[in-house]
Amino acid sequence: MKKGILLICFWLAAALSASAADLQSAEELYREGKFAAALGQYEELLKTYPNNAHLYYNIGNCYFKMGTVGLAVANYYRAFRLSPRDGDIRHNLALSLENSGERLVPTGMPEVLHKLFFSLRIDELKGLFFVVLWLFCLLGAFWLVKRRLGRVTLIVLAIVGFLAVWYVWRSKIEQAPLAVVAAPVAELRSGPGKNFPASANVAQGHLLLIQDTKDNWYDVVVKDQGLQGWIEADTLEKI
Amino acid sequence: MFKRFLFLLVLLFPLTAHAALNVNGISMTASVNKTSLTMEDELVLTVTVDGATGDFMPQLPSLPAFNVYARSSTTQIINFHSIVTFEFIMLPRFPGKTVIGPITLNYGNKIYKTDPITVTVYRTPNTPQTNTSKSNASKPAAKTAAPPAKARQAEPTPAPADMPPLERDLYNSAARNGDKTYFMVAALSDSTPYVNQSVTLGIRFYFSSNFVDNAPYNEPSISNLFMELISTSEGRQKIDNKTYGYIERRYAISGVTAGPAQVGEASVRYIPAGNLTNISVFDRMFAAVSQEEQTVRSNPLSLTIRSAPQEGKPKSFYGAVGSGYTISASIDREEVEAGEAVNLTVKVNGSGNLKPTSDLKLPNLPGFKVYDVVATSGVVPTNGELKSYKIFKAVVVPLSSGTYTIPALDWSYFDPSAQQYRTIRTQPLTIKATPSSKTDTGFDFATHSELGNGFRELGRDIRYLKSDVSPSKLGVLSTVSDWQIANYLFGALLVLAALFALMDKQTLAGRRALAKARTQLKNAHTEEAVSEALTAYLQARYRVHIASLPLKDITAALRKNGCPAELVQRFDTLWQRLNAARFAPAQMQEENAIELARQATDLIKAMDKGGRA
Repeated sequence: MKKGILLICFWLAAALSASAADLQSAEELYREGKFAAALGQYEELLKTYPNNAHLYYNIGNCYFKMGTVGLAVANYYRAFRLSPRDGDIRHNLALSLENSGERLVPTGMPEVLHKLFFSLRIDELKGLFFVVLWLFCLLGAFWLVKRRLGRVTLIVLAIVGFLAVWYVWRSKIEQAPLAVVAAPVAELRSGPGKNFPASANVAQGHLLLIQDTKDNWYDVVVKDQGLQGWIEADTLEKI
Repeated sequence: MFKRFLFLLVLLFPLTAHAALNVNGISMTASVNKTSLTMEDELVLTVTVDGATGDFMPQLPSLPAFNVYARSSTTQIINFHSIVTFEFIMLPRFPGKTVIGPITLNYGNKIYKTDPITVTVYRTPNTPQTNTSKSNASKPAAKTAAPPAKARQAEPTPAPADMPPLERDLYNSAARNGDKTYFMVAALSDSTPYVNQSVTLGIRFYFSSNFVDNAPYNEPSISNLFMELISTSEGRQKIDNKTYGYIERRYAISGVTAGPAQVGEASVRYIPAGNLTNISVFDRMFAAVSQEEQTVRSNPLSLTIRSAPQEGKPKSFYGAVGSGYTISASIDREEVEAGEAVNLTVKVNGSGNLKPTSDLKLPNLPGFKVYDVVATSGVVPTNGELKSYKIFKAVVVPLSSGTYTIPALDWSYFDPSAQQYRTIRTQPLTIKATPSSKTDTGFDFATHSELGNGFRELGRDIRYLKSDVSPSKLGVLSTVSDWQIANYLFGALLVLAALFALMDKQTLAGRRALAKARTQLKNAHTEEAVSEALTAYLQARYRVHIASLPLKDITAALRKNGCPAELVQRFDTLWQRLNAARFAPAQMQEENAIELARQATDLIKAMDKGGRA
């Protein structure tokens, strides 16, 4: 038994030190300006640490330095969803979006409000909602039996309602099927095929909302422009 | 003395400078009017010496494959700058591929050389070798009549199969018109080129009889094409034993967009020499001769322009199609102060038309303020084909001190012969920027904002990498979010509390009242205390306020609210005793009060068990 635990510990330590070495090696490549090579190493690490915000962030940095703003935006966005309080991720996402003519904070919204709205990850927000809901259940039960702490129970109920609205709103945003233009230019057509005329060109890095899929084509809405049409899937990167 | 010396210096400066410029600024180039020709064609070798003055002559290399039968030179002087052009007219001696070696010029104790030129000479069908040598003996005049044909063959002899397509098509088209004295033909080197691919259009005006000089030539109309004249030449061709002279114009054409394209008719208006014999000199000079004017037209040509394939198209493809492209990048200064401009120049050269291609897009250059790229392009007809160049210039300004690298710039083109994209790239360039010495606050760009307190924003870049793979998170909340089952538990608790509260509200009140009354009665030592405890209990249990009511009304209310009659009777008896004790306190003892409390306790117990509210 002890031997087994020791083996597992040894294996874990070896795996962690290997990852640390890979991270260091990727960082050295990045510092030398070999962004494509660094990108390859970070993508390999992502297989070991899936859904890791910092790895997505580093991958976004490599793409940004390589001039591929579309893929940089896609990876920063993934990192932002996983770690919305991280200032570096927010900064790089905002900067790469600005480069492609988009905005992270909607026009007219104070930045502090945007930061508050995204101050918690979606699962953290869900956890907070649960905790407050449970508190309300306890207080409600106590009030029903003892007829005490009625005002406190009402305040907690209001907080539960507020958190519910916040959670539903955030879920809607998080679950929206977003895509970003990864090719230098994507052509927006009136139907799912090249035989349909192109109505607009969408530059790299623009965010699109996917509404429907047909074969290798996406029916998309271009945010803030009011444009809708079909774009070839190969030119987009789903977030 | 000094003033005189200065005066002389000023006087002599232009002359000395000019002489110096002449020595230092000489360049020599050589070109031929065609690189593929038949034994009947003549080859014009042009050597241009730019910047040399005086008496000099370029030295031709050994040319065993040609007879040089004429040479001429012309000199142009523009702003004290001379350009001397030597023309050598040559006739091939035998077919095959041959190289005209470097032409040398010994000038100012320096030897200048041109690049070698490769020329292919094709055998002319049905042309005996003896005819060739005969042709070589005399200079063929371009507009001199050849002897008229006496007999025609039924079918023209086709051109050799190994001839380039353009030469072959021109030859065969001419052969089909061999029964005419004047005619024009046009042919293309490729009729299905890609967008921006340069192909050659050849137009020849054939004549076997004299015509008046300066026959006006009208260029063909074009649609969906760019067209550049690359050469004009003259030659001879034997068709059905009849010798024709021809004047040839070659154009480089390239498609603008994918789809059909057209080359219209070119035309030449001429006056046959035979018509002039009976016309006076005066008439020749004026309108009378124009009535005799005739026109020949070339055949129109159709092209299908293709798009470069989408598959494998690199990001750095700007639309160039061709071959042999080269790219280079340079900067005018490698060491500057922060805030000073550096001119970045990128040059692309190659075969094909670069004029309509898109401009190079510079990558993101962190640490630099980059101004828009300005592009210039041009074409250089060389040896019968179109060479073009495009020069991209951008001003980049290092925003702060440090060593910066402009990375290798990729530029791709489609090679139609290999049917694939090729990417060429520049070498990375390094700029060393020292701190600015201009002002203590640095330098200013209108686009960069003042941050106050002596700080100035120079530019924006992404933040650096993360060195670990463990992002911060609120672990407790994340963990709790998975406890879905707890929601059911707490919900169930709430529901149970609600049910409990709804179902047994009165019972609870009664029990609370019983407990309270029993405690009060246990500690009651006076009839007053017993009376109060009993009053409170009945009020809580049966909601009967007995303090202000006569006994008759109290018992009625108790019956009405569900208290059994026997218990009402017992209450009646006990209440009377309590009243008696209250109104005759002297007769009461403590023991009596305790007894009354015991009876009251028994009564409320009975009421709790059997009574119904």
